[in-house]
Amino acid sequence: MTATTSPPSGMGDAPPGSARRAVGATAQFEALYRSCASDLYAYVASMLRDAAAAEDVTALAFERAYRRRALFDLRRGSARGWLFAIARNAALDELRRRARSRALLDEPADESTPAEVDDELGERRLLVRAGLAQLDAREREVILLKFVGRLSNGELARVLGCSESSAGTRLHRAIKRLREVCHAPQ
Amino acid sequence: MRRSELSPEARAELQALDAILAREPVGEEQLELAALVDSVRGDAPTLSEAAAARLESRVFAGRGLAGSARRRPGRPQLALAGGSLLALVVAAVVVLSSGVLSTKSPGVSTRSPALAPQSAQTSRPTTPTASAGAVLPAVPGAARSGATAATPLAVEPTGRLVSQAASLTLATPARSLQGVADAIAASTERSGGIVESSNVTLRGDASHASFTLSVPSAVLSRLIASLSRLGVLRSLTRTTTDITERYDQAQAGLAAEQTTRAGLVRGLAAASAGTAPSIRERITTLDGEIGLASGEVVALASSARTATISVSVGVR
Repeated sequence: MTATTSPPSGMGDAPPGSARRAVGATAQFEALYRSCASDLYAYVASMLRDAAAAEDVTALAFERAYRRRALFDLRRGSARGWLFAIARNAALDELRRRARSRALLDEPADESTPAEVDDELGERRLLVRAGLAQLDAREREVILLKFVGRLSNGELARVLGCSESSAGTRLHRAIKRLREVCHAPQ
Repeated sequence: MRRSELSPEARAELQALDAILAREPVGEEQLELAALVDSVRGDAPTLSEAAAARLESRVFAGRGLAGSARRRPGRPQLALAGGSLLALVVAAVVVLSSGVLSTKSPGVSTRSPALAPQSAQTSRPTTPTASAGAVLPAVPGAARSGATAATPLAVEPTGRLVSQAASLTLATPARSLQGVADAIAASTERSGGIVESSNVTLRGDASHASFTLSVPSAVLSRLIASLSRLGVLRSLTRTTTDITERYDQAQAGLAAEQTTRAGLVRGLAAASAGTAPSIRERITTLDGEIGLASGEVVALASSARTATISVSVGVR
């Protein structure tokens, strides 16, 4: 499975020399940042389970997106999906780096989890967190991309490098499995 | 599998999911799904103010973008039409609790009866240990986030690898709440843990505090005992999940994928111009799989090494 981060083309962007369009593209990038930053960080942090690394990877994803914005092509999907695909690849790079360095097992979880707002909600989150942890990596990823990243199924397909129908099927199976593990007696 | 193979119910659920994520009204029959989404999103790490500022600064540095005019990206909460938050919570508890969640009631309810009593001796320092055919790695490592330098994985005397979590509810007089909150943070730090998040509201009888703590698994019981003495213990829930098989499988899967990749890389060196692109494509695909598998191993090791405690303090 591989994500298609390779440049689509042109984030509403501007041919060189067009200052007016460049300003428009800059505003688009800011808008993309504002609309995606929180969800993107949450997704990356959920993947990496390391707040500091998640911050680095999120920043890197935006930096790459900015550098490649002239290559973005709206016809191939939304900017949000494109950005998440870039972030996913950056997160996978980070995980591979850890695997290579063999340091991966020395790093404790460092998740910034919001405070529980009440007991029942806290327990429910605890339960779902445990359930999510029991999913395999692919199932968990599709859940995180959808629930946390709030991607459309088309965007999901682009990030996962599969067809939209396959993405929908994978998502549905993952949700079903999450329900099963949440209901399974412990 | 084509989309047409999805049942009408499945398709309807995916549509409802999109509606939930878009904060559009959903029917009562979808409240359980909404609760699931809410739980996953609510548990996802969030950008702190400081981290958001750092991120913004890094992303926009040198790009000539208007910095001060930018607002911190918001994190819209799910507003569920068709049911209040209370209804949502109730629905979620009804749906999700069967056989797993304990309902709240005065007094202490401890779940997971199958668990051995948790104590320091249930978690032993991990040296390479044979477990179901796999070798658990030693865990040296200074923790980046402040846990103890050598945080052992939680390994039961049987050699099983376990993941632990607990949820604690305390009650205290309003005037003592700040002190209790301070004591929770201090006890956590003394135990080698960290306060992942906290929320303390001082408002007379409406005062409350909540914490999410991450602590070395080996000290979980000791810390629970210590925290329980800080107020009247209203409820205690503990969960333990045996993750040995999953850990072993994840490690074996990762090793197999790495071996396959090494073989492909060797093959690439001898490949012709005609076959090289397809080998490269397979390597790229495999890299994604290796990344996911690595993440799985990291996640499992982390969940065995550290336990999470949710603490809620109210006024009595």
